[in-house]
Amino acid sequence: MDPFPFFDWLDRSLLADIAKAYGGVFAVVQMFHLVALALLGGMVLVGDLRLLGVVLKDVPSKVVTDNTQRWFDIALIMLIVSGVFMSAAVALKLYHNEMFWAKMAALATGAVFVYGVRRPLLRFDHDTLNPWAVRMTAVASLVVWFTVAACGRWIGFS
Amino acid sequence: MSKPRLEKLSIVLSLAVIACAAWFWAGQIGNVLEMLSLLEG
Repeated sequence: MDPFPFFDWLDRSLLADIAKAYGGVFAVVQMFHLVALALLGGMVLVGDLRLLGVVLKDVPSKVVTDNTQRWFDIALIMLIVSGVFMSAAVALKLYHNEMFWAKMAALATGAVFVYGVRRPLLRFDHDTLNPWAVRMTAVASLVVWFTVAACGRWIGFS
Repeated sequence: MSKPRLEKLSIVLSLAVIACAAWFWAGQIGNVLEMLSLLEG
């Protein structure tokens, strides 16, 4: 299924008109996008490094992951909403950008992994979980969100 | 889903995610080096 019609529609939408015509609005939305990226990255780092036993060792890992997950959800919603608005300004350019598709693939993988695997696993008492399952989940989470961030940054250079 | 099954699934899927990311970044290594040299230049 070719998503071109969606990008073509997005390029001619009201959202695109606003994003293209008002540089100030675009800049403010971009600021929210970057703040959300920092928040999401921070929550991933704190949560997963705690699971790996690197940081906050004196705080139970369940307390850390439960709290970071809440802010992760908020950051992800902010990222998607602001990201759609920003994409509208350059929709057709993004459609032809390889790194954009790499980022979208990583983002979809990350979301499925977090809500389908990481969160259900971490609902159990962490002390009773297989330590390798916890470690592998933390490493995979770090890797996939690093890939999302790096590909996102790379879009600007490609 | 039971805990043992979820643990196994998380290990398998984590390995799959890590392998996919490693494959992706291995393919990009030339681009990374080129970008770094551009940044230095």
